Amino acid sequence: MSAPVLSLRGVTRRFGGVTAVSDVTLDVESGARHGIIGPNGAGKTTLFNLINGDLGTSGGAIDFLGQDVVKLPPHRRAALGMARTYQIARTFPTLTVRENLVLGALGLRREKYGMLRSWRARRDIGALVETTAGRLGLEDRLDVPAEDLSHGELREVDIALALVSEPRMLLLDEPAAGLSPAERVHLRDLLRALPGELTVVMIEHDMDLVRSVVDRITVLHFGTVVADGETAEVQADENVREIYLGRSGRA
Amino acid sequence: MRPVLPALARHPRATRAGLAITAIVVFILVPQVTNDFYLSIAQSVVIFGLLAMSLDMLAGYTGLVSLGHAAFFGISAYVLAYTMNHGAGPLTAALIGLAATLAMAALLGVLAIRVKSIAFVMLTLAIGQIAFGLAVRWTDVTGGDNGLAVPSRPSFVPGAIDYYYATLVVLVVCAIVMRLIVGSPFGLTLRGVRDNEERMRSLGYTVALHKYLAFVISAFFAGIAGVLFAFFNLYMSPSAIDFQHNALIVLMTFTGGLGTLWGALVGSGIVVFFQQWLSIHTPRWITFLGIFFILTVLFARRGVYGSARYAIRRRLDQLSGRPPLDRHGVHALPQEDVALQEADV
Amino acid sequence: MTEFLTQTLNGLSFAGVLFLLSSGFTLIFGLMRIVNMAHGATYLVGGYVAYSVLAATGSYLLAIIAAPVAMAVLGLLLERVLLQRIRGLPEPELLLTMGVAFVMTDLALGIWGGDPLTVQSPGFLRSSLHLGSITYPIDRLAIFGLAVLIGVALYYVLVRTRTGAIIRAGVDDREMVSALGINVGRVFTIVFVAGALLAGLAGVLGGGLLTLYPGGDSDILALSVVVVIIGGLGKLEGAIVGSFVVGLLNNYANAYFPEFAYFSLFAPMIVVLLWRPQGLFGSAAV
Repeated sequence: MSAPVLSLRGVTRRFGGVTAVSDVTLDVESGARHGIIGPNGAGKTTLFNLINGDLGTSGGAIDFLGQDVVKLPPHRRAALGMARTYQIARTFPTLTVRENLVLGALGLRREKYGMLRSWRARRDIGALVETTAGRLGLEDRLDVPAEDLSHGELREVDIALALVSEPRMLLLDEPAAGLSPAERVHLRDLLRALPGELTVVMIEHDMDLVRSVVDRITVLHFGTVVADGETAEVQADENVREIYLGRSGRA
Repeated sequence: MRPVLPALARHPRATRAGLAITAIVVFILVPQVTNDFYLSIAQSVVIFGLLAMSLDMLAGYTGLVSLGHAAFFGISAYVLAYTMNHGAGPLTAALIGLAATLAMAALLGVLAIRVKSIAFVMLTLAIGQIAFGLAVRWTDVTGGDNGLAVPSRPSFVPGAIDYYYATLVVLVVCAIVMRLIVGSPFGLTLRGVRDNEERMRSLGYTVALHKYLAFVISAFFAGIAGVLFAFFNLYMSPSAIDFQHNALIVLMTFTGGLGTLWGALVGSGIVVFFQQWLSIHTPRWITFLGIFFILTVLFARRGVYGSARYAIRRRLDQLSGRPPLDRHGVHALPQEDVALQEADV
Repeated sequence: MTEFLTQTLNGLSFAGVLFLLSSGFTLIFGLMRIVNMAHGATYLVGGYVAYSVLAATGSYLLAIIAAPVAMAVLGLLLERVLLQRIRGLPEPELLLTMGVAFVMTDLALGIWGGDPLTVQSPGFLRSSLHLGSITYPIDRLAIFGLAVLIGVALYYVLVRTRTGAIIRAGVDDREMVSALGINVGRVFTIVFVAGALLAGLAGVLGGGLLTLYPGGDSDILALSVVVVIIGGLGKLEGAIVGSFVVGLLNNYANAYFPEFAYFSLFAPMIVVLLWRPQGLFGSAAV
């Protein structure tokens, strides 16, 4: 049994008087498809921010690939193999899709400091970018500036940006938000086709997507873990049902 | 709809090279077919064009608008003048001046990257004014308001025309280097920093280092412009680096078009035109320039060159049959997506 | 010692003028995220207007009312007619105010010329006070006093009124404020116009203390910028403390080591940038 890729112990984050994330402990195994669900305001995105370094912790330990990363800034965690997407897609608006992805690919390479040759000259990066774009259906949009893309396409670029750096762990924050049903089907197929060695942690509200992609689920409510286990188990859990459906709710 | 445009569209590189060569030829011909007045205009455009291009690398490409860029221009010019007045030869003095600019940029860069991009503007304003204030007050070294004379040009370019061609060569070389840099992977990272600094961090970039390098490199090219200016003017005084001049450089870069590099040259031409030609007809040329600038900001935010380039590209897209891109991202779905939607229902 | 005391008092009156200018500058930036490059020009033109009103009517009272009001109107026009069109785009806002500054200062040069001009204090303030070992002009003390009064009034408005609360909240989190359904646009205009009014007033007082001259706009704008960097963006307390620091230091430096006067401003700015980049009172999330 190999060590977990991501290990959280008692992770906490306070904002003044508000505790957004409280004493979260969980493990994510290598190659896992791990979902994080919970009502709005449960602290899911805050948790992601703590994991990838966009936000610092108020307490607790975060280990990634066996290393304590709690004090590392985001770019150092990225260097270790962490990649993430955002609820509102964060891309580079004036750059074309191709340029966006090249930036994603260069992030962890020394070539990013190269000043004299054109960035187009690196054929291996070009090929990686085209392959990744193809996996997301963006191959026709490579030379379109990101600011001209539709909402769904921006989401795809956001995911492609995370994938093109060939990470060890992918953090997806509500990848299906705002997507049409057709686009969700496409997303599901994409997620199912991701390499087995890549560990995926996904925040989602779309339960169909969660069910078809994810094997373990952690449920957050008011910043604490209320359930953590295999998909079927968690779905049957009484507490979880109460949280989602209310005390008088019926399945 | 001119038939020429589609032909040009098919060979973009040749077209761009052709335009560049035409521009260079025009600049070469100026001293041959016109008089001293136009020569001095062209000379100013060359020198300030280089300065504006260096600012574009920082402001246009990296998104850091510097209101103190003239300081680096001034440091190399003043150090050059000072060392020449103390016995150094022209080329040696020029090298020392450049080294001084590089050193100051390396020091100031550490401070400059510690503030958020919007506070960067204010910090560079302060730096620019401090440099100006030093130039005015430190009379022992800078000559104060009287300035410093530059004894002579390098011996191989004594006359105005020879010197002009030398500066033209320097401009072309610097422009090529700057073009290479902005087209390189590093140049791409600068645009990334400008567009979304935080995403760059989560992608693994050490953003502060990129900003620092951009700062120092652009200061270096500004320093080169300062050397060219010192030898052209044969005199250096504080007024060349006062607030108005700092603002004029920003004006040049923006009016031409931020983030286009060549726009800075166009902007330099526009400002020099206002300054040299319009000033003959009215002492209030700055007011007119200011109004022109305000109108550019309101109605042509891409600048003169930038807007022209954008309009031509849109036209070319239309002519080559590529579907127009709706800015709101709404576009016709390709056939296969339609099939998917129907199947899903 | 008397020299030092005199210089200190000079520094305080200068700090007063600087505070009037910087408070508007920092609030405009803090709330609207606009680096108002025309702020120095507003100061200068305000001073020039006061000079002309005084020359035409002989009434200082009229001058000290007309100039700030005129600048407030100018600020209103600038904000409503020009800035509104590019609201929310930081680079164009900065550049627009820069263009306006160009036009204002050049027109001022055309109207008032290049010689330094002074706004003479009113007769009843033109005598001096005996303070221990020195004799000090009353009008300079009055400038400091007026700045303190206005500072207190500003503080009261920010801390005790609803508009002030909105302003402070907006400095901290703009989106939240507009999400609460508050008419942020109107608050923006109020802040901008108030800033212009204060700048004009600073020009009247500065016109007496420092004289008005071409380039005076950028000189004092640069000092304002240092005040705001030291004090923190968008914070009134920062403008107060920063003005004291810069005002006093600038004066001592000019008196005791004039050649390196500008370095004296540099030093605290560097210290702040290295130790606390957001300024003494600034919040890290600017």
